Amino acid sequence: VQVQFKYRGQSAIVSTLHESRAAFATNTLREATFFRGVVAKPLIFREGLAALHDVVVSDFKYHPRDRLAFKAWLEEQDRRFLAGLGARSEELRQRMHLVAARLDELDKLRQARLRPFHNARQRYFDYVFHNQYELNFILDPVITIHPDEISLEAFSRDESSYARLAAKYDLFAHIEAFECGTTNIDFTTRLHRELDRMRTYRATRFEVQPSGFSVASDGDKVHKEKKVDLPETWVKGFLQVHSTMAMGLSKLTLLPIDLHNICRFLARHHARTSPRALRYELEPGRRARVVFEPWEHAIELSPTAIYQGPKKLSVRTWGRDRLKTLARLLPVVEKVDVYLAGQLGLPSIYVADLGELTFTLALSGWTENDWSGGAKFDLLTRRLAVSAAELTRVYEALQKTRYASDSAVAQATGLGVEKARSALSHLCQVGRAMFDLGGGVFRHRELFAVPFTVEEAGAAVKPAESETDPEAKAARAIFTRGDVRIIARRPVATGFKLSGSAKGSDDTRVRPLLSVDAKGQIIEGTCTCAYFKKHQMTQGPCQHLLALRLAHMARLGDEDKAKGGN
Amino acid sequence: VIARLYKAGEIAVVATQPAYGQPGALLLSVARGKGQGKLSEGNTYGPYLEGDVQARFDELVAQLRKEGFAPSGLGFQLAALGGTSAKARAKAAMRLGWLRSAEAVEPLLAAAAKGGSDICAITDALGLIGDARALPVARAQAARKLLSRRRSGVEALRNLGDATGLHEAMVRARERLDEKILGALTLGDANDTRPQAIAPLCKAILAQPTKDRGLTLDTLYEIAAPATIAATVTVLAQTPVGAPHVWRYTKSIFKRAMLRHDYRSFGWLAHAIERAARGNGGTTATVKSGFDGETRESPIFRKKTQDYVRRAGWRYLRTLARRRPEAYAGAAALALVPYETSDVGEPAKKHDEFANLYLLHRILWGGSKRFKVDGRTMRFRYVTSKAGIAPPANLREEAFPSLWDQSPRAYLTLLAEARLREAHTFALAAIARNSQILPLASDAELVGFLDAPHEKTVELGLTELDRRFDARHPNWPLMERLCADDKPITLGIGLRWLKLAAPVWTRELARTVAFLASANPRVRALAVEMTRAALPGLDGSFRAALAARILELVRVAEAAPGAHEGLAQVGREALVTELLPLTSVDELLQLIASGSLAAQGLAGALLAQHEGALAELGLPRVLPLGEHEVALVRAAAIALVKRALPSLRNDPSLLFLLVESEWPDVRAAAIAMLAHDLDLAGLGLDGLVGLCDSSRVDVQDLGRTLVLQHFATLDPNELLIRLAQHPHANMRRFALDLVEQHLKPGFVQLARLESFFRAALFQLWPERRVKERVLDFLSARGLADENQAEVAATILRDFVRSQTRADFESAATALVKIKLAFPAIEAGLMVAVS
Repeated sequence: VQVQFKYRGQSAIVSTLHESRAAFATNTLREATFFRGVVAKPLIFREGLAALHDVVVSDFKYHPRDRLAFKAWLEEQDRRFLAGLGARSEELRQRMHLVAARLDELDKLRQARLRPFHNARQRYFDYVFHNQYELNFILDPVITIHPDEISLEAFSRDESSYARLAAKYDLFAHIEAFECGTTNIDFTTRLHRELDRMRTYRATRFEVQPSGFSVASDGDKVHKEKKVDLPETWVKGFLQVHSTMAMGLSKLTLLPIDLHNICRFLARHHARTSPRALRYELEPGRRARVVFEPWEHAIELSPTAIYQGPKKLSVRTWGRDRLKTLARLLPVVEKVDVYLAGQLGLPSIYVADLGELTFTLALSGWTENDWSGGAKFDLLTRRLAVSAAELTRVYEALQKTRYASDSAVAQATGLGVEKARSALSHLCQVGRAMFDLGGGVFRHRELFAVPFTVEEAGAAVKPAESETDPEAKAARAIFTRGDVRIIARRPVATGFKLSGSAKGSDDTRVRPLLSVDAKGQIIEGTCTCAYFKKHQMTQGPCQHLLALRLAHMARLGDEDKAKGGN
Repeated sequence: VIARLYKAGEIAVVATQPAYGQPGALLLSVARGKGQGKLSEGNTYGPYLEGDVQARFDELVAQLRKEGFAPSGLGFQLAALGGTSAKARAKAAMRLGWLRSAEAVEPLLAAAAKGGSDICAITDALGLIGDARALPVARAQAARKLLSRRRSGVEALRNLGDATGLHEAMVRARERLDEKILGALTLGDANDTRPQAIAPLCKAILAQPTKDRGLTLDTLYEIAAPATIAATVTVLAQTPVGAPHVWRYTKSIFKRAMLRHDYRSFGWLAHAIERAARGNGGTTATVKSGFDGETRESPIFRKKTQDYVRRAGWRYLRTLARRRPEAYAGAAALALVPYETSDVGEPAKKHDEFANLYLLHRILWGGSKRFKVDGRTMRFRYVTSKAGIAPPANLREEAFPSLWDQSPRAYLTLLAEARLREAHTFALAAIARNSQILPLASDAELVGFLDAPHEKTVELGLTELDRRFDARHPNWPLMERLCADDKPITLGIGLRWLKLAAPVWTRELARTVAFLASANPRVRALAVEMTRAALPGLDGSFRAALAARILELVRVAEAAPGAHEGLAQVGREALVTELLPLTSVDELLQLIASGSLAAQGLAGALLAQHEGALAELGLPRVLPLGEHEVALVRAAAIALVKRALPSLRNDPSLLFLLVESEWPDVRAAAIAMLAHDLDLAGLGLDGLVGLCDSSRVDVQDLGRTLVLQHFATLDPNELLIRLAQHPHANMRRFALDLVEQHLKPGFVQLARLESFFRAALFQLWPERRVKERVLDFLSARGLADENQAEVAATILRDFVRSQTRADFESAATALVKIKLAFPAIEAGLMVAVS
């Protein structure tokens, strides 16, 4: 996706002796969104922005070491060895040895002589990297001004971590003006250095406006313009992450010292061998334990982290080093809610409560597996059939209130709660809404500048076309053919437990077992098929599990109708 | 000199011989005979002086021609031209063409009128003879569509020098070209053969499918402009010459090269074909024949064809040796040039490493008795097992050695261009035999010597170049050429000459500027060094003129990256005095804003020296210069700020901005000015903490020093509160020092620093000592009174669950002490006394 950013001003944080002014320039190609206010608690705001910056610039993917120099050295050794083999006399060999030694000496001298040049070149590359890289590759965060908060959303450079910083309006001592909407902000790496100058003894103004820091407008002069070929993975990531958040997740509450203990252990220990998972041992009614593999070092969490789930669980999460991006929050955070998606390689979400600020860090299953690469989290969420008109109604209702719970939307639109949830899920999937995990509400947030149309609504709700995933397509085919049936459907405290029988595309009948929450979202599942045996849930649920859920959803819809819902 | 003439059954030979007893005089003898026996009759004429012999000789030959005698072969070939076999007629026609006898024109025209399949050979022959009577035939063939006819016609027109006919043919050729190629051809200069000049044309041709590329290449070669020929060869080098749809045109271009006597293209193609034939058995494809235009399944580039074409290459050279002896050596040299080390194979018992290189072997060892060619494999092998031993040094084994000696420039071509060591050995032997050859070498050839794969050739080139060099009267074009060369050895000579000739060129404005603006950085650097050394000794008018010229050049955009560097360096290091009066502050700012990097540097250096710059600019306009990416511009800003120090003593806010610069040099200068040149006591708490608040360690250190210096004048509580908010570990240590020493008693002050203590304890990489000090401090203050105990316990309670044993023990001990001292405090742990 080609996305154009056009900034009339420059984002900057400028501190004088008595005042700090954090001014973020907005993308003038997006809707006119602005905010002006004075921050009451600049220190936690500073730490929140610093953590966001740490996520934006982080790249925890494995980068193989550059071995060019080593290979050149190896080739040279080979060459010398072969030359030595060809030497006919001992005298010649001796001479070659001497010449090679002298050559090495000269090489070292040459290296020493060139060192200032190499150093200067390195400094130059660093300069170019810092000044050009961000222009070409850093994807500017998305800022949304809501009626009750400001949120900034961004992805890490490796696209495996999603961060959302939400500042309640209580954070501000005084709000001069704001206009709700979504836009991008010019986010340069230089901001980070200036960020650290925010203090309580300086009045800190926070401004989000097209001109950014420019004191006087220079007419329509463009300060910076960049055209980023937005990776599809980035777009998909934004969509997937909210699907994940809307799933039924296991929740734990950590105190700052728990997170400190985890991060400190990670900072001091580097595993050289697999497995390298961070394992949560959850036992109903007991304090959760965190186990560091491969050392099997366990930390028992604070009493707040008592697991309330129905059965014992062991959840393994990878890419644990990404948690270190929360380091700046440790002194100011009040508590951290951890949301775990599943037992094996599924995402984990950390919601840090800083009082008036909430920082959400969502980590994909593992670092190399970005949000769009592996698990199809959208498949785990439930969907009832929603018409384009219904979707448009839900969209308009959400746009009007800017944020609302699913039941509020249902009430406003006159749709059943189940249908409203499905419609909201569809909107999250097309980037028109987002789920606020901390607040438990859906929020209106336009990821792209293109206005919502009826055509888009039609495309979004058309299951056969929108289901690009082969497993989802196959599941719908199984459901349409009637090759899936529910053998047992038992309501439990967390939702429903389902047992079924399904015949897939390979004409083999298998036994899917599914646990869904009250909203119909998959909590866990197993299947006797080969796909599940191979991937478990890491690539999303198999076609049989999805078909069984479709059957369950159909029955839920029937029940909705029977109750008199729309 | 000898002439053999023939008449049906009779032979006459005219020859010269020295006159006995009369040195310098010659006799002319005419011998006659019949059949193959002895020449039984004859007369001797003379003696004649050497200058008169040729005229008399020609008279005797003319007399014999009147008697019906004809030159060797002419009669026989004319007879064969009337034969029934088209193949025999074609062969005879070609031979007549090589003989270039006007007598053959009419018979050839008559044969052409019959319109047989031998028409191509007849047209070729007429072209080679070059008689204007052949024009109608050549024009008619040039207008034909069939490739073979068109080729013969156009090449004949070229040999006949028919401008009109050629123009028409060229128009038709352009019509055959694709639009894109025609566009690229029209845009380029037809005489410019530099790789960068022909690149667009080559790109356009290469964009075509291989199937269509052949016709384009043949047409471009037909157009025969230097650029189109160069493009043809360049593209052929990237095209499989033996592939179906290409081979037909490769062959056509090869034939054209021979008809046109384009020896360079001939040599390149002969080598390319030989290389393509290596390990390539050819293929079969359905293609259109170039001979009769029929489309049929045909063998393409099979071994038979390969061998035929390889032999044809040598046949052509051999015929040149006989019929155009003056051209042989040059053509043979150019045929040797493309051979490379990668063409050389492995030697074996029966053959040497060059056995597969048919043409090379024929040229270099064609006169040797050690080798014989195996007609089936087209390989040369030793005649006997002893033949592999190297021949005596003075034995010449090349074909037609006398022709090589007649054209010594061919040796120079080899030395300048050949890539194979054996070709150099061959040419070096000739240079050793004849000392008159090397002085004939042109400058370009000598430069070519330096790139040779044979060290002796390189040495020869170096010696000859040095011999020709005169430091007082240097060969400027050669010197410029050497300096513009990228090859280290060539550039090395250029630089040496540049240094030696410095006393001459540093006195010439144009040359000085040219060398200073050279595209090569090493040349620029040396030119700068030499110019800088020479300038103090030169008169003022020259210096002023050079300064004006430098300014003029840096005002316009750089011709090549770095072209301004040398000029700007000389300007700022040796001509500042002359440049300053020529520039205004506005112009310098203009250069800084839009000039090249070197120009910006020069402008910066001049701005720093400009007397009125500070007054004209004012400090607010100087400030942005301190953030400029060019160090000299930043240095200028610093110099101007230093001049403004007296005014900064009252309001140093500008320095507070410079001290936060991204650039270490600017920061260091601003810090030095703040530390040494200004009295900051007057700034008070805000100013000093403002420095401490920096996120840069060097500025923080300055702030810390100043705070300690002026601590007595500051409010310690407010200072502590402010410093405690710094997120940097460097300032946290400092803040802790002050907290320990100066924090006032009482829980209010302690509570205000809660976030500071938390930050110190919860930091992921804290210094252990800092944490211990914080814990000790909290413990001590917690024991002081109940209120402080409450504050300390709140922090310690959160931290005591630390998994670090030392932290846990220290925090737990502190909490226990506080709990024991004030049991009402909520410590988060239970104390049991046992």
